[in-house]
Amino acid sequence: MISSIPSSIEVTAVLDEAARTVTFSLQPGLRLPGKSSRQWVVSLGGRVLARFPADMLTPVSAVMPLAELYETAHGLLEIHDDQGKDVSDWVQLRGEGELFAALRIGSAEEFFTRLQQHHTRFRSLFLLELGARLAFGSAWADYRVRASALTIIAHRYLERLPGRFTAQDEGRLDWLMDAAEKLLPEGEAALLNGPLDWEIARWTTSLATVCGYIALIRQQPDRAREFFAVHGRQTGTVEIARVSALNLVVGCFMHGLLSHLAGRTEEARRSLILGLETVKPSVQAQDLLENVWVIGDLMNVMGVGRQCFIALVKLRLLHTDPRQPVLDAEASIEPSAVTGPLQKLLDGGYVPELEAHLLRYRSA
Amino acid sequence: MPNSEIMSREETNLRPDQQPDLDALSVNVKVHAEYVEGEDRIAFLVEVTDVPPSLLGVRMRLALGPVTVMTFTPPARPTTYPLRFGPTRLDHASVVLLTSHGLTLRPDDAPVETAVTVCHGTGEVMEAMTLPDEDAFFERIQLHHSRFRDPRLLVLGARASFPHLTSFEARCAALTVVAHRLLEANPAEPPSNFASALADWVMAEGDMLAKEGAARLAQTQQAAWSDVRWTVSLATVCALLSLRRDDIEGAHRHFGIAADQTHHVSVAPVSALNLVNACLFKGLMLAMDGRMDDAREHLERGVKAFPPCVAAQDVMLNVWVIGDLINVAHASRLCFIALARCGLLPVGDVPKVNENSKLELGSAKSPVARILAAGHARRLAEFVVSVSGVSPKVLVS
Repeated sequence: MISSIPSSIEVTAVLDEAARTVTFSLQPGLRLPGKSSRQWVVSLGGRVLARFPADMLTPVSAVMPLAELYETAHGLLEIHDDQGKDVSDWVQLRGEGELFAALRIGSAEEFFTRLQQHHTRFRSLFLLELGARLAFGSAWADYRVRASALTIIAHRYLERLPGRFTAQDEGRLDWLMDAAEKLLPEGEAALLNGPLDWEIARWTTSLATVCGYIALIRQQPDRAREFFAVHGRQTGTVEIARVSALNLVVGCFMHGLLSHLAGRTEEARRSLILGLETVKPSVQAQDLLENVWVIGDLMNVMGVGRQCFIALVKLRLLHTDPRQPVLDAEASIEPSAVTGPLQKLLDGGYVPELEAHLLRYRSA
Repeated sequence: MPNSEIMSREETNLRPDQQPDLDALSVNVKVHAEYVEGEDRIAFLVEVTDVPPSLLGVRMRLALGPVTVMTFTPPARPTTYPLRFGPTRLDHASVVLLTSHGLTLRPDDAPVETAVTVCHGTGEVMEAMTLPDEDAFFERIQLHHSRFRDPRLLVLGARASFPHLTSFEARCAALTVVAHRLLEANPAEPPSNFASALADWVMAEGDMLAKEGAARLAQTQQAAWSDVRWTVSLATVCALLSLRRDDIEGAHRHFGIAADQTHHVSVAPVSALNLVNACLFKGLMLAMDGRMDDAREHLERGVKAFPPCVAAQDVMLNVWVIGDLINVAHASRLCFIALARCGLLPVGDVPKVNENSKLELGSAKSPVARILAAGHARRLAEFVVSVSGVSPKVLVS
């Protein structure tokens, strides 16, 4: 029987992040004569979105939980007949809108534009996470894309503080941290053996930073210390990776604090001194006339460097001449002066051991 | 003995036997001075431990520079010592403004030339007026940890020492110390006659000294630390005092002298904040005068000065080093915002500042905003308001 079938189907998606669902609408396009005895099945990333008669006239909609969408292995829209035969030669599927833009990201350039750069990236946090997760597993993703992808995902969890993670979150974070622990040595080896690449340096530092905090939130201080140890090994890269200056100094500070907490005082001293010493090359690496934020960033770098110095004195890691004062008598370590989530972690009760440790040395 | 001295001796009312006795008496006179509790007056007390026979019953005059501190008359016959006279009181202001602070003694009816110096003083007021050398001057007047706690003594000591100070840095330091005390006063209140007179003196001497320092620094490849530090400090306080005195030209000149030393920052990192602030204010004043290229050059200099400031410092020394550097960075950031607000940044596709970045001079570690908000240097204040995006009241918040 000859009927008419659509030559194309436009699929649009509306995200409802509050309801944790996405609603798809499938809108048939221009109709052409064709066989219509079949059922068609449209799927996304291997999950069925809708089944409908091939000669459908009106739009079809389908709701998918975000969690299900998140688990899709890839972002491809597919259309089959009820025999399982690919019919995309007859019917073109066009995914429209930001969700499909996120799913279609296929190059490093597109990845950084839509998922990473502040002014051009998606506003939806879910899309950032979804896009990053899919990009991480893509064949085209090089080290910097993979490290950046994990960093983007980690940020989504850090942004949710204060709050508790669900079992589902925990599962995803397990995956994230395992992936980061496998990936970071790759970046460090490249920096050690190859020519210095500022993007590899930048993403190695960024990923280690966010994972360090996530490990702390998950009550894994030893694991956090290992992540923050990356910074101490990478302070030399500040000359090429200027944007990492703040993370490098913060990482040294955190490593110093956590090492001291673990009774590893020599490492604590080394890291805190290194953090303070990284202030100078951080400043020298910058072109201050580039924009006003460069100086603002350096002020934060120096603020953390100052905390490194205070920590050295308060944790009694610096031998000083009592006749030569080096610190105001009332000074103490100020976690709020350390750019990043440290203060939030303390306020939220995520790091009780660290909090008690800081309190113990407050009036030391 | 030269003739002139014989002549002068003959002209005095001093009997020949009294002159050596006067020298002897001066050794036995001890002067104690202290501030009267709750008043800006100095009380003088005299203690005499022995009086030579020829001066018994002779009325004596004790003077501080040209001003009489007190007259006293030892008893006509030998008596039990010590004798005590006073107290008499002099205003702190009039004492400070004296051009000489030498303490001298003579018989009341003898001419001034016969007076002998009294060296024996006690109390911090006497110490401040008789600092023996430049080391003592720096220790008691300038260095933070060892100087007098009472700010009146700093002013008195600086003013009394000034005529005897020979080194450039000590003379600059004396004027700078006094200027700082003047700058501590609320700029919204009219200055006292005393403060005005002191400021006149600081500005007159400071003009010459700052020029001298700038000239010396302009000629040298390897600037001396003390030349840079004190030229910049003095020029800075003179610029600030000028603003308070509504002398915009003076502020222009002195901020200019300080800003011109910015390339010496690695020699004198202690001056970093003054240097960058000078670039900021000089730049703004140039922009106010429509000298936009010069304004840009100064403001960019203030931005670019920050890395060498950091390079010149040892951040491991103490916590204040990095605290100062944060202040310098803040001043450099204000220079950048001033470039933007004065329309001196190159036009490009990439944003360089937030569109709503305000030039908040009140956040600078400098009293300029407070001085302008108090109504001084109106032309500059109006210009700053026009480019800063904030009202003059907000300047200080």
